[in-house]
Amino acid sequence: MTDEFDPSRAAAFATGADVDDDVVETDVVDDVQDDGDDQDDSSTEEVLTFGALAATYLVPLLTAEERGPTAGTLEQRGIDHQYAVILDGGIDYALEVVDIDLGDNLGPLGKVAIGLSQTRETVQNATESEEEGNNNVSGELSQEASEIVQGGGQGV
Amino acid sequence: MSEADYMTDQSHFLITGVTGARTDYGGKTSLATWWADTHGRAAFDVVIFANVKNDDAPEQHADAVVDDVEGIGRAIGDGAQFVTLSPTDHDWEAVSRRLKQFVQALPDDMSKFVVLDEGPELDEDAILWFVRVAGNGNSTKTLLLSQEPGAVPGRGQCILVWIGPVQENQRHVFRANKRENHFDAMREQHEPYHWSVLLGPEDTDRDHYRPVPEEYA
Repeated sequence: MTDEFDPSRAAAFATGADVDDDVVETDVVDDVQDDGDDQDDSSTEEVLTFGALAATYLVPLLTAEERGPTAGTLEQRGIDHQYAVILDGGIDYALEVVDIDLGDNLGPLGKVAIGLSQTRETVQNATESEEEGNNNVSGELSQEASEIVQGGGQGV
Repeated sequence: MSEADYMTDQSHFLITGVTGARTDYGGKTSLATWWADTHGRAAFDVVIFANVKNDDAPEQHADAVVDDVEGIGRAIGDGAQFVTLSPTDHDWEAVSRRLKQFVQALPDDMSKFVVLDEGPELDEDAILWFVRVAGNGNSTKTLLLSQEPGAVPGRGQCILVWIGPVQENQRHVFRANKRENHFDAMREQHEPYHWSVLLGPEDTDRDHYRPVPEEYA
């Protein structure tokens, strides 16, 4: 009994640590001691997992069909052609991953987004015009005004 | 130090008194069993009773009774809180050495209440580890049992507990342990199985208790 007693093993029992009752010499931390069959199973599982992920997330990048608003629809709503094409592709990919088909339809959310973006553009344009006018008042004459000035007011 | 403090903190105790079976003397094992079963269970993660005499009381009140030290680990792993070791190996010194190694291997944050019965029969180094080294550092409280305080090492690290009647021929024990102030009072007060915790040399440094419940006898 004295020669066989392993205090660490006994303590492991007490704490619930992983102790293999059937193995006399045990090193549960050393994975190198696993045999080849175990490694093959692990590799196979890893390949299967990667394949499943690739099928779900990578393949649709190339194969996703039209599932949402087309680029043309987006352009009709005021989005520049370049952005409309990119957005069309992104929407098709996202809907492919979640397996939803909306058809050529913006949907309420899309309409709201378009509306907000157009409103912002309108405000931005108005702001730019106002700034341009302010710049003219502050000293920079318009072309017409410059011609009048240069002509000494004779145009009146 | 209040009663509650020393019953459950990590101070160590030496329970001593004359041993006797079917007499008015004795009671050390019963007292230790009661202490383990009440305060030990209440305040510690695990209670281990080294019952080398194979007494009945520690076995009856434990969650599990095992016959070797590895069995203590298995019992704790199976959910037992109070484990009594009644060894089949009569080399009690070897048993106590293995017990020391096992408790050392347990996590420091696992609080342990350990009773070492028949102290003079156990390994001296193991006893010294339990009463000198173990304690706050690895959350261990030890009760060491011995008929004679001088028969075990580490006496200076333990609080003395006397159980049972006191006879004149035992005065030298109290004197040697600087507790002679209590001797006369205890000669008058101590009926069978009464016990006192001798916290210090002054007259007021003694807590006197009536016998533990009879179920622990």
